[in-house]
Amino acid sequence: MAKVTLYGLSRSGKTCYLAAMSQSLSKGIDLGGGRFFSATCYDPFQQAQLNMGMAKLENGIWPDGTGDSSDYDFDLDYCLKNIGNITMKDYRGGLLDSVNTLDIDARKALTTEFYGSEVLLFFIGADAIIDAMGNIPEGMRNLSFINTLHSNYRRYNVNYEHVPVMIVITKADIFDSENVNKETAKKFVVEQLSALFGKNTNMTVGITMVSLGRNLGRRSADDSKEINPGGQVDLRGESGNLHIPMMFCAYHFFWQEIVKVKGSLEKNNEEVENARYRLEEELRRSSFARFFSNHESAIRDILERYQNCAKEDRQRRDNLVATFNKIEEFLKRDADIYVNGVKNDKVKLD
Amino acid sequence: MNIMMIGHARSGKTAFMAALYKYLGDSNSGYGVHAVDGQQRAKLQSMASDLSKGIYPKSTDVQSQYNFTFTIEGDEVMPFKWLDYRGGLLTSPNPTDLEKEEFVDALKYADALIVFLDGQKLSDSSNRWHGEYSLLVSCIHTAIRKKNEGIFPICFVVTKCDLDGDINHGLSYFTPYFKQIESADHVEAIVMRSVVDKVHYIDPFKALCYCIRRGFSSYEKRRKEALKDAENRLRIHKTRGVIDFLFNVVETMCEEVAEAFGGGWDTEFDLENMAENDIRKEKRKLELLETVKGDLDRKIHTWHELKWFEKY
Repeated sequence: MAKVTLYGLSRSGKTCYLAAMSQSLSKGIDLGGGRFFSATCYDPFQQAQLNMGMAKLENGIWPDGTGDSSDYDFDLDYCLKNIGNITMKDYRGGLLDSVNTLDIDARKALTTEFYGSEVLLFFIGADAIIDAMGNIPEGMRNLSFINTLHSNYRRYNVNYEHVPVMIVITKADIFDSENVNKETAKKFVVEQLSALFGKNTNMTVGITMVSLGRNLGRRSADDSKEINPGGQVDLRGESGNLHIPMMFCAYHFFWQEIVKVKGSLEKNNEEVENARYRLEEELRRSSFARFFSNHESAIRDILERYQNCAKEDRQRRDNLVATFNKIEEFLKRDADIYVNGVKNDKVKLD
Repeated sequence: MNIMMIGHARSGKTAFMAALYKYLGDSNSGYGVHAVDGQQRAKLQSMASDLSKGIYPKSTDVQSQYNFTFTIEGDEVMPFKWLDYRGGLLTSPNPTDLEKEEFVDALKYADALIVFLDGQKLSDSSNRWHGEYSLLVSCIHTAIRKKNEGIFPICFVVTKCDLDGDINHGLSYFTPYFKQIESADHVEAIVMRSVVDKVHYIDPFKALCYCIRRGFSSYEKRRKEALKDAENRLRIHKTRGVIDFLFNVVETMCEEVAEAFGGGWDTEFDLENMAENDIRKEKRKLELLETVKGDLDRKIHTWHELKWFEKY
C-alpha cells in the first residue's frame, strides 16, 4: 500500500479536495477509447465520512476543517484493473500551523508521518497566493511554509529526491473572480518555491490548479462558513482538475512498474543469452560424451522458460508504456511538471 | 455462492426478497428456492403471504443471511447464501465496529451483487443523492477488487418503477461506471427495472437467474473436483478378483462382531459403496447443472428488457 500524504495549513482545501475527488473520480474519467481511470475509496464507511463534507458543500456551506489527521484508502484503477493502492493521509492543518513554533511534539509527529510517503501533495489556496502576490504578510507566510515543510522533509529523508511532489493550488476559481492571471500566479509560485523548482534538485515537482466550481469565493473575514451565494459547485472531475493530483500519483506508480518490468526483462534476456550459450556448448560436445550425459533437453527447457518470461515482460512493458503515455497526455494538459528544475514537455518521473 | 443485496434504506431490498419467495418459495414444479432454516422459511412465507395482500414487508432491521438451495422440480441444483444488510448502515452516524467489519467482510466474500437503485431518487434531477450513489460505487468496488477468477456479475435493480419520474437523471451518474464495466473483462452487469406488488413478482426471479447462472462455473468446478475425488476413492477400494473378495468378506464378518460389542468401522465394501454412490450423486448433479445452464441461458436471453453491459 503506497502512502500519499496531503499537507497544507488550515483552510488550504485538503479535506474539500478529498471529499470532492472521491465522489467525482469513483465513477471514472474517460481517457478516450472507452478506457477509464478511476480513484475509488474502497472502504464504504470512509466514503461515508467524506460524503458528510460534500453534503455541506452542496448546501452552500464550507465543510469543517479536519479535527484529527485521517487516513483514506483508495484504489487507483485503469479499466477497473488495479494499478495502485494508496493511503491518503489528510494531515491536520492545525497541527502544521504550530510546526514553526517550538512545539517539539508537533514537529516529531510530522517527521514520523513524512516517513514512507511515496508522493507528497502540498496544498495551498489561491486566496493565499493572491495575498502573497500583493505582499500581504499572511499570504507570504502561507506560501513560504511549503518551503519550510519540505526542508523538514529533506532533513529527515535521505531519499527525498525520489519522492515526487505536487503543489496543488486549490480554490482556483478565485483567480477568475478576482481577475488574476493564472499563469502569472503559477509563475509566482514557482519563483517563490525555488527550493523545490530550482535546478540541481534532481526532483520531480508538479504544479496544478484545482477548483470545486465557479465563483465560490473566499471564506469571509467574519469566518462565516457560507459559500458565495452566486457560486456554483461543479464536481465533474475534469472541469476542476480534481483528477490531476491522483493522475500524478498513478503516473508515478506506472513509472515504478515500468522500471521494475524493464529490470526483469533485462534479467530474463541475460538468462536467455546464458542458456543459448550453454546450449551451444552442449551441442559442441562429442556424441560419445553426450551418450553418457546429455543435458540438451534440460537446457532447452530452461531456454524456453526464460524466453516465455521475457515475452511476458515485453508484453507487460508495452501495455504499461501505452497506459503511461495515455495518462501523461492527460497530466500534461492541466499540470506543469518540472524535472530537475526544467519544465518538461515529456514527463519523466524518477 | 454468496449473493449480496446492497442499497440504501427503503430502496426495496426486503420487498424484493418477499417477492422472490412468493414466486419461487418451496416450489416443487419448475424452479424454486428453499430456505434451509425453518425459522427463516416461516418468516419468508409470512412476508410472501403479506405481499399477496398488498402489504409490503418492513425494512430489515438487522443484517440477515439466508441459506437457500436453488431447485428444479424439487431437485437441488445449487446451494447459495443470500445476504441482506440493513440499508441504513452506510449512512447511520455511529455504526459499531463489528457491524462495519461484518459488512465489509460480506462484500469481500460476495460472488455476485444485486444493487438496488431507488427509482424515486433516480428521478431527482438535483445532485442531492450523489453521495449515496458514491457509497454504492464504493461498495461495488470493495466487492470486485482482488477477485481474480471468473467474471463477477452485478445486477442493478431499479425499484419503484411504477412511480412517475425520469430515472435517467440519476442513472446518468452511473453511466461512466457502466461504461467501465462494459470494457472490463472480469466484471459484467445488467440493469433491470423492477416492480414488486401483489400482482407483479417475477422480477426477482430474473435477477436471481442471472446471478445464479454466473455462479455455475465455480460450483461446477467444485462438483467436478468432488467427482474426481470419488472416482479416486473407488479406484482404491474397488474389489478386484477373488482374493480381494474373500478378504473383504472376512473383514465384514469381523466388523459385524466388533459392532456387536459397540465398535465397528467402515469396511472396504462400505467404502466402495460410498464411493459409487458419491459418483452417481455427483454425475446427477453435473447433468442437472448442464440442463439448467442451457435453460437459464435461453430464459435470460428472452428477457429483452434486461439491458446488458457484459463482455462475452
